[in-house]
Amino acid sequence: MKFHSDEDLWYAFQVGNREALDQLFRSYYPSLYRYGLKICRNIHQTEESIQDFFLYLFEHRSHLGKPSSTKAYLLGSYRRRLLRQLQAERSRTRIHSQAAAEQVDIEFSIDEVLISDEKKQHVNHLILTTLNELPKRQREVLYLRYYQELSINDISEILDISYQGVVNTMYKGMKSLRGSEALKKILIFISIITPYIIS
Amino acid sequence: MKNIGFDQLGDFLESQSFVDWVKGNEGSDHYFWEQWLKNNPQKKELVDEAIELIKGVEFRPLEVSDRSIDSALEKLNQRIDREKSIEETRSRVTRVRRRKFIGIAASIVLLLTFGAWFFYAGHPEMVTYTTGYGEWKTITLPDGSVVKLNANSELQHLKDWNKQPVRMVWLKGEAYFGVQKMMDIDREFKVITKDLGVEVLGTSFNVHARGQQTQVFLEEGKIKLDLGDEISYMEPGDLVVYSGPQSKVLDRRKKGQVTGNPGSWTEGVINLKDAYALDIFERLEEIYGVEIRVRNEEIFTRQYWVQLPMEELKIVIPILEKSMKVKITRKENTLYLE
Repeated sequence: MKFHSDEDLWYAFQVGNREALDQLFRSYYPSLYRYGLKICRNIHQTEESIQDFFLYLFEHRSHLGKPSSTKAYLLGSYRRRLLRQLQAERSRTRIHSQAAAEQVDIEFSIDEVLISDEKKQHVNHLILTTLNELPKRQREVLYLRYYQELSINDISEILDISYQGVVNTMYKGMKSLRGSEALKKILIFISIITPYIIS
Repeated sequence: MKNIGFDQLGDFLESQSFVDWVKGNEGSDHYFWEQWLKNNPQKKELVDEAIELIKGVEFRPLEVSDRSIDSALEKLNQRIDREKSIEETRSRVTRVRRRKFIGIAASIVLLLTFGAWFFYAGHPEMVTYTTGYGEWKTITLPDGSVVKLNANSELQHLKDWNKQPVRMVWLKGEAYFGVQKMMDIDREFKVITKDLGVEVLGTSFNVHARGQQTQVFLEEGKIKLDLGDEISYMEPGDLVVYSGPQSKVLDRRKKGQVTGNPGSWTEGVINLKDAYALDIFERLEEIYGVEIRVRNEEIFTRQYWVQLPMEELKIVIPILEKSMKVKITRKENTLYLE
């Protein structure tokens, strides 16, 4: 049995259908796993927190809302839970982080930046560095938009900011990235001419 | 393809036609957008920004293998099954412990109760009182006992009630009983719900029979609970929650351990102290027949003290908003909490 629309799936899940639970889990586990790992940077904690999250969803299923977007709903409430958990841990271990708990600090790795051409590897490094130096909010918005491929409405729901807020943040982030691409062109030029200058 | 607006960045981002064109997808409205740009040169900056955002950054997402999904799912299902079996074991233990209470008297009571239930249930000679959502009634029974019937409830008794050896009433929902003691003979008063029977001589108590369980709260006097295979006595201030389908006592509290006052609704206030959101929602659903949807599930983790007047829903909503610190939007029969 397979539920074809998100709406049917959610309804079946809410009335306690175990196949619906399985399908929901399979469909969204990869996205949640990727997001969780970015938020807490710990494989074990990511796995455990997703387990707890689904157990919680199953137990409270009849009282959950009917989401307009299942993916946004799941990623959004998982994000809140995980952040709360991290904050509780921090206060237990008395490590007072300067960062507000609401801020997710996403760090991209070189494997995740698409390499279309091996020769352009240093370009990818540059993109990676620029990405990881962006303000946290911009990084998370770019992550949700281009990595998780979510709509602007979904992002606005997950981060609880306005539609225009998402667009503006996205734009600022992309502008910084492109700005560095101009820089990158100069760097490529320098790397080409440097051997000649030295010799 | 809509040819209107396009004043905001978002207008472009949401247009599938525009996105297809930027991405060079097959069958895109290439000609249209070239022309459009020519005719709208003032929008060039906006279009460039939109193109930027659509092209975005290309990522190669982390691989999550099917095998790891399978094993995580198996783990989850085991956990859910384990929680369930713990529940069942608990109920089995209670049942074994309760065996010692079983006696002949109990069996007779049980027989009489259920016999009467089956016998009378088929007969039309019943007087029925019902309340709808958001409606309350005070009923005076033929013997002078007063019953306050909460919203969405039903009370029945036999038409020739006064001639019966036992004053028996059937309850679905919730009611508060102020039972008159009969001067001449000790004629028992008995409330029957689908879970249990409450036997009294003269006293005040609240019975709440909804869903899969019945809750009895005794205000004054003394009552006897007929739980099928167990007879239990209650003292003033005691509270018992019993589930018929599971045939087990779910909760039993002595005076002082009861939070809030289960009978307070008869004074026009539902008083829920240290209550979890789920309990509050259940009450509202029962009384007003509304469905409650929550956007931020943080609400579930907190405890609240709410005092709600027994009034129309539109009066209750702002009070609930204030005491739970939430925002409520009502769409027909559904309340959305944020």
